[in-house]
Amino acid sequence: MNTRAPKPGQGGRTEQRHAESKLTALLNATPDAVVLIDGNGIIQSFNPGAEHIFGYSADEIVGQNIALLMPIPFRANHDDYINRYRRTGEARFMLAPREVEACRKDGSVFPAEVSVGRVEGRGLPSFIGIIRDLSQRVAAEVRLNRVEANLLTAQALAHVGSFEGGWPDSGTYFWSDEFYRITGLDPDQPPLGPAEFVRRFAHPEDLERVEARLAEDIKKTSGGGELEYRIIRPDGTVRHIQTIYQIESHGPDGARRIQGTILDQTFRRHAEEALRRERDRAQRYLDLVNVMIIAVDRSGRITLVNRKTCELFGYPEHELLGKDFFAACQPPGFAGRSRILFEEALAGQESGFSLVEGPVLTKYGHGRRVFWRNQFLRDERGRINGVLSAGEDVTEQRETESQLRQAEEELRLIFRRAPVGMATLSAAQEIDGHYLSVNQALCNMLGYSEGELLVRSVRDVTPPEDIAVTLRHFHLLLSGADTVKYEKRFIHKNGSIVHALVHLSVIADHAGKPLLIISQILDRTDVVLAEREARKQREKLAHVARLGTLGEMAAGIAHELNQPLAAISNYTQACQRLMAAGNMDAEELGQVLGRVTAQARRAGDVIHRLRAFVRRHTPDRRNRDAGELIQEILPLVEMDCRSHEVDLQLQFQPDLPKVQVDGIQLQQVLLNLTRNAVEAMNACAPGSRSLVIRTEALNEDEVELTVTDTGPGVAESMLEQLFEPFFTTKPEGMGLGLSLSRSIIEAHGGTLRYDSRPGGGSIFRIRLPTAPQEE
Amino acid sequence: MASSEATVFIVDDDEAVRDSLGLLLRSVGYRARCYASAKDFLKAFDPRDYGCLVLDIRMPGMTGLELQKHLAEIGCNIPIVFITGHGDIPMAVEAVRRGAVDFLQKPFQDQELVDRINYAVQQASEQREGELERLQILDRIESLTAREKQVMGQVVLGKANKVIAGDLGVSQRTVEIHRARVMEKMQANSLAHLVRMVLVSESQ
Repeated sequence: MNTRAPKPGQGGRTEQRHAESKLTALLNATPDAVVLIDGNGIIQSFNPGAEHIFGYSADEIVGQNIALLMPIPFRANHDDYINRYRRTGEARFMLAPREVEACRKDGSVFPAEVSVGRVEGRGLPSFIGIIRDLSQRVAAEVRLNRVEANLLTAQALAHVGSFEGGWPDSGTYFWSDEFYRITGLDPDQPPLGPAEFVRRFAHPEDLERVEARLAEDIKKTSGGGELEYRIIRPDGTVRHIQTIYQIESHGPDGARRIQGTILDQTFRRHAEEALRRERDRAQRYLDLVNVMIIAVDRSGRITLVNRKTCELFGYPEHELLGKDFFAACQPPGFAGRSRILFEEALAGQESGFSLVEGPVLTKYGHGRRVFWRNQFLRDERGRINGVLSAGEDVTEQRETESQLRQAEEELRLIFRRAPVGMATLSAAQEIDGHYLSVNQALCNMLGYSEGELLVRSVRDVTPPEDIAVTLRHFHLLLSGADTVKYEKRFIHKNGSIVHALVHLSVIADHAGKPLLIISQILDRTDVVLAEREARKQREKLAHVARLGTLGEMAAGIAHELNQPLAAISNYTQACQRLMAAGNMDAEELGQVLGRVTAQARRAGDVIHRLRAFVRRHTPDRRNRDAGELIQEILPLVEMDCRSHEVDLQLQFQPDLPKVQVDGIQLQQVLLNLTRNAVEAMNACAPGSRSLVIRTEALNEDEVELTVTDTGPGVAESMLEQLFEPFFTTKPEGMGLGLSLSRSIIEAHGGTLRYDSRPGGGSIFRIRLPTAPQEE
Repeated sequence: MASSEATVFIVDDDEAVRDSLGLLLRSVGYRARCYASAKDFLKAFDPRDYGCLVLDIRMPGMTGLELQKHLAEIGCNIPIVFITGHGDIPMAVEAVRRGAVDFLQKPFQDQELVDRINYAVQQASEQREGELERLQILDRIESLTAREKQVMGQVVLGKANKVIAGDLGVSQRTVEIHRARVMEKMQANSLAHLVRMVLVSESQ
């Protein structure tokens, strides 16, 4: 390594050269950095020490600004210092060495001591700087400080007292200050021999043991020993002391001396005891906690388990300890992967190690699933020396979760695939009726895609006239009804009407607050249309049947018409005769003509009534009084009875609750029953033919109308077919009357049945629900 | 014109029919009395009343046919004209078989009714005359002695006097005397007359 000496002045003398070479040798030998700069701060020379300290070679640094050797924050200011010094003579670094920070070539900063001197010469002055690297000195100082502190601590902590004297007890003794402090004895107390000390201060429980030892040591001429025992101090407190002693013989007389230390172990003993207690308690905790605790060393061998772990794996603790966890406690197919994960974690390559779930294998070969929380165990130097894991048996939980997931999946499938329409809606306070989910069946039913339905509300697919009933049922449901069932219509995307039966139920949280409405929608369009068609057909049939009934009553009807016609005929002929004979005045004629008119009206009424009964009509259900309805057809019944010499009796309950019926249809049923009754009684003698029509309220909900005759009744063998269509006992009958009557009554929510009358005859009972109270 | 002495009794449950019939019969000069039921009629009727009965064949309670039967049972033979509705022909035929004068189907021409009423009243009148004759004959029979009644009984059987004398154990002459007394008391023109009177007396 070459050093560039300062440039010698021109025409140097020998003396000067000699001085220069001495200087150069000095510069080369010193471990300090010596740097020469010119008045502008440009480095002129850089010795080997500087090269070593700063890391630059002289070749690369000479000609650079000295500021390069300073930490970046100070560099900019250096030129200013030099300028200021040249101008004012104010110097900060001259003469006295100062501690500063310097910067190496590699950018590292280190503490340094700088002394700067001025070199006088021609022109600008130049400066020489001596820089000493302080980093090693500073580190050493730190170390020293630490040792001293440790010593102080050791001195404070180590309660070591000493004693010395003759052996066995003889002559005078020496006790150190610390001996007095440990034993708590008054410093004025003269030191005692060891045997005497023991006798006076040893704890009674330890006395015998210690004295026995002393008795042994009395025989010794040399050698040492160590004893631990308790003493009772004058203030009554107990101290554990450890004593280490040495017995030696001195001189020709063989006089023996003893020398030893006592150490107060009380606090260590207490600490140990506390530690043991702490450890026991920890173990108890470990055993009590409801998780498995298991620790393994770096090789995977088990070093600690708690009771729960033993229970799960089925091994007693001693069988588990020392076993390889992976080989013994994991299924073979999993252990390999698990060990790789473990080793990668130990090497710091696996970040997902702290929470792991996996299978384990019990002693009996059962598989369980455990969720582990893993934590590295480190030695006092911070190195990983094992893993502590807290495990939770999640087998049942996972099974339950898996079953739950499966159940959820099944439910989801049921929802998706159900043949009935299903939807869920929010049960939030104000129902906006927007669908949260819909299934395919509902989409098919309404003609929309799932996406289209989910952006629509119930209102969008409900005809305006059905919105009120829909909302009413939603509110009914949310105000406490478990489930609600009602019929409503929907509008299909193509505009057609879908008739549906809707079944709503609600899902509530644990507090009973409704969360979700589940709507099941059954498409009843086909049924409704079929019912409508059936009703239409029944209507036609009923009309035909009414015509048939009247056909059967032709004789009675003819008689009923004949009466007024005969009367009219008689009146008019009488008038003709009386007028012709001049035996009738205008007044009398007027009277008779009045009677003629009345009879003409009477005939007209019969015709009118027949037409009303026979005419086709659109079904019209209203709240009607059954008694009044019977009164309206009574003339027809009466004429039938008259023409068959049947005695007719009416037993009407007054204030009968109303029934909601189609009047003509109920009258048709009644007339059909009376007609049958009259017909049936043809077989009996005229004087014993009796027909009773009776009305009665059975209770608040039901009204009964009975038609009773005294005919032969219905033979047992025919009862089953009685209400069958096309069953008849009449030669000219179609056999539709009773079957039609029953279907009419049932369409009104009622029943029609037959009872035999005691003493002979038939009772037909019509039961109808009473009409809802009118508002 | 029929005898104004005769009364036409009308029994019909239909008030208008009853009333109009009454008016019609009054218009042809009959006295008419109307009843709404057979029971009402029986309450008011005296078997000695003279006239005829116009009877609705179909009535609640006692029907026309039943009333007819009842009257026959009590020995009342008042002529009956039945009035029937449509379809009651079999009943009407039965009624005529039991002695009714005739039946009329409603509605009818007034003359048809009047003819039948006249005929019925005529019959009633004849019945009444026949009855008077029978009563005379019975009176005459009452005037005969027991032996005369015995002889008349044998004579109307067509027996000769000699046979009668043998049967009774009397002489032929005695029979001849009794026979002459019978013919005289009975005001008989001939044997045939006597036989008819005895038959009348035995009728009913």
